[in-house]
Amino acid sequence: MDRAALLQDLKRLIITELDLRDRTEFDIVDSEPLFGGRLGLDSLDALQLAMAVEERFGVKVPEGERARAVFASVAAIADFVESSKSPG
Amino acid sequence: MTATLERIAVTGVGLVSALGLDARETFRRLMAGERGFSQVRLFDARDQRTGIVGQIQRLQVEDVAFGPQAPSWSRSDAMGVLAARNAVSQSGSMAPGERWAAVVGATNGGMYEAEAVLRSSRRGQLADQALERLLSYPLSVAVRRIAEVFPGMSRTATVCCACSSGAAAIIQGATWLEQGLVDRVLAGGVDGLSQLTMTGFNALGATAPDACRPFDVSRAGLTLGEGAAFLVLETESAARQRGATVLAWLAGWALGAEAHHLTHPEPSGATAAALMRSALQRAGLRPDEVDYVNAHGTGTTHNDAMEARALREVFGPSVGRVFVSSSKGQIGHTLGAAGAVEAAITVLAVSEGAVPPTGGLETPDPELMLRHVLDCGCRATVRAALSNSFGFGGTGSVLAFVRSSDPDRRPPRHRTRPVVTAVAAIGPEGLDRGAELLRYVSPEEHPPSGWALKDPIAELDPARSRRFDRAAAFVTLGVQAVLADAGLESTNVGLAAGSAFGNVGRSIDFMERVANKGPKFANPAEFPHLLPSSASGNASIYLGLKGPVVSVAELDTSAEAAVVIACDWIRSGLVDAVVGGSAEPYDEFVSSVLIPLCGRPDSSRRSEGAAWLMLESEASARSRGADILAVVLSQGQCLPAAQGPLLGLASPRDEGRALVLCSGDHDTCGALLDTSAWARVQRRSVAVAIGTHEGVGGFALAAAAALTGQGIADEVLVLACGADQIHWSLLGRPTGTPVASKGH
Repeated sequence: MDRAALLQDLKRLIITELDLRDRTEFDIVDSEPLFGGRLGLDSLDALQLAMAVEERFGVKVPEGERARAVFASVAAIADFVESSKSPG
Repeated sequence: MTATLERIAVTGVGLVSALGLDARETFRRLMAGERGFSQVRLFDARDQRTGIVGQIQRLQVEDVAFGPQAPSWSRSDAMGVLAARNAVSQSGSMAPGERWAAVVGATNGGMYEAEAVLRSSRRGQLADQALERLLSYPLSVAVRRIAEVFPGMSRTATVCCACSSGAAAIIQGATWLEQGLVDRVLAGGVDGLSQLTMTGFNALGATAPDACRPFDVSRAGLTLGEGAAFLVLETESAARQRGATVLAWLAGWALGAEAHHLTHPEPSGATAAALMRSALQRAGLRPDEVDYVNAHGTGTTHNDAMEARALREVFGPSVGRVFVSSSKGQIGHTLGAAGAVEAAITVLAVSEGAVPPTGGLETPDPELMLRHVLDCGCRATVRAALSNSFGFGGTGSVLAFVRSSDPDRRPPRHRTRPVVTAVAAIGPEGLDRGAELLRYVSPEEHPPSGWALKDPIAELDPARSRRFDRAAAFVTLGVQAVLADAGLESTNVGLAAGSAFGNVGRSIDFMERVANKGPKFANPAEFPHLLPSSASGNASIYLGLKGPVVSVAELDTSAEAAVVIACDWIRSGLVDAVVGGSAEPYDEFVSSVLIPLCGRPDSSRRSEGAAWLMLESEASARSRGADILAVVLSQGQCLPAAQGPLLGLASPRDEGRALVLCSGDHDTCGALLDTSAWARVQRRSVAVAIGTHEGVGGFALAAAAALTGQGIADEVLVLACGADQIHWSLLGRPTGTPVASKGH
């Protein structure tokens, strides 16, 4: 999956999983803070998003503080997914 | 008009927990510092965050269950009956002619037995044996089992407000005593473990990886438990007359919501502090007269910090002197039973002069600055004590107990009766308000039938209604409408929302996902929406309702039961304004499986709907010049086998200006009316065209207020003969409302 498609995919995932009915994928900026930002997401959303990303991409999300870095923005999640999937 | 009502005595305590099958054993082992935790044996939890629970080890359902439905009794049912018997054996058995009530707070019901059936329910026809397990599924079953044990029980109720359910039930029982409706009340809570709750709390990361450590500097979450507890309550004069021993006085209470978040407590602890102050005020106590607080103390980082902040705020300098402990450190979080289990422990602390410890607490968090009890309990004079419970969705409770030898210091309270200041309903045409509800009881008009309900979720602000289901939307839209029509701010308003079966479909979805993908992929954000109290909790957060917020379960009289509870809260001065009613969205599983099994069989088309009444104290409605649609003159309810269902109902003042609205079993309604003073009054039913659902009675109540509000009738008797109970409410046209001309 190329980067652009991955970002698109992640944004759609965020919108459907977190029931952001008033948003489209075009509303979410790649590098904007997901938590504590415009979208109004909280720690419950973070838990659900972590589970959804694990399920969708078959990756293992770290716990605690390291998870914060992974979910800082859509771009950060994309980085994590790509690095988890690349060999070595 | 103010009056000092009689004191409420606790004359019996029953308690079943991980540390014992009766109150004496549990309390002895609590004081000894024992902890009742072990790996759960009811199901396999090895691939989850934790499997450590406070399970009741020696519970044998088959030894407790009796009667024709014995094979379908749940563990929750059995716990409840054991605890009820335990409490009654101390208080004294029912005397001939005595009127008793039972109120149960719960969240889980028979979920443990039902979940195996529910999670595979979509794969095909359910076998009879599977269906039998569902007989104990409805939340209202536990109290029915208790009524079977004590025949002669006259009325019951079931309430759910997550972790404060058991306390809300005790408060409800107290209001019935205050009104002189019954002589003794068995009030408490029941909740057994289930895979659903285990998986859900683990998915949230709310559980401690090992056993919980409330107030400890390295606390890491809660530990689930299970249990049941009942207090036997009666008035002081009744107790004295019987020569019963008063264990303690239930001197004060408070119930209210935070309107903050579905799972996180409000960090400031402002609502918790306000509830403690309110309970103290009702009891006539100063904070420095309290010697012990049995805390909510779950052992999560957030709760314990919030609660400690609230305690410091309320107790000020005397916080260094008052003992604080959490029983959850020894028996776990018993969820819907917790408010009652911990109330029972608090009563024993007061009556025995013994303060139990906080199990698992080794290094108290220095930031909390509380006076802890470590390792074992200690002997101490306890003049007065508080029992705190704060729940998911933010409904919290505080109960204040005073030792039996202390004088009464409660301030007198105003007496008031409830009035209706707005009504709304969601029916086949969408949201109807005020006089529009007349269509549901008009003999000429037939509302169009069908499913033409607009998408209720789409009507809400998307940012504040994330993950709402149709039930939450029905509640929110209806409450929003009556608030607006009554011209009230939401802040001090409460909500009693009926729901016959809770959210079955959504629970099945959650369980199917776990069954297919494993607990690791349980959706943590879904779990808080699965409780019977989730719809009302969501509505209270959306609308900012900070009064008491509960869900009420009573099959096809859930709306009626909720309206009674709302009215009782107003009469007891708990709150000045409450919305009462119910929401029953269509659910395939309910319609095709649960109704044929548990409900009253009815051949009409299954439908859906919600109906709401804004109830206020007459004093506050009149003082703010509100438009009053109806006065709630009197109400009654009783179990079908009880004597005199219409006891307390006055004759109609003018038969020609009165109406009767019937719902439920029309034959029973007819038989009751035919032998009453209301025999010749015109009878109407709620329009058949709206179909059948468990909330039809709510439409009758709301429409009755519209009838009096429009001056069409001077009095409307609303009578419901439901599967579990008979309910009636007498609504009157307020003086000043012009009489409408005939022809309606």
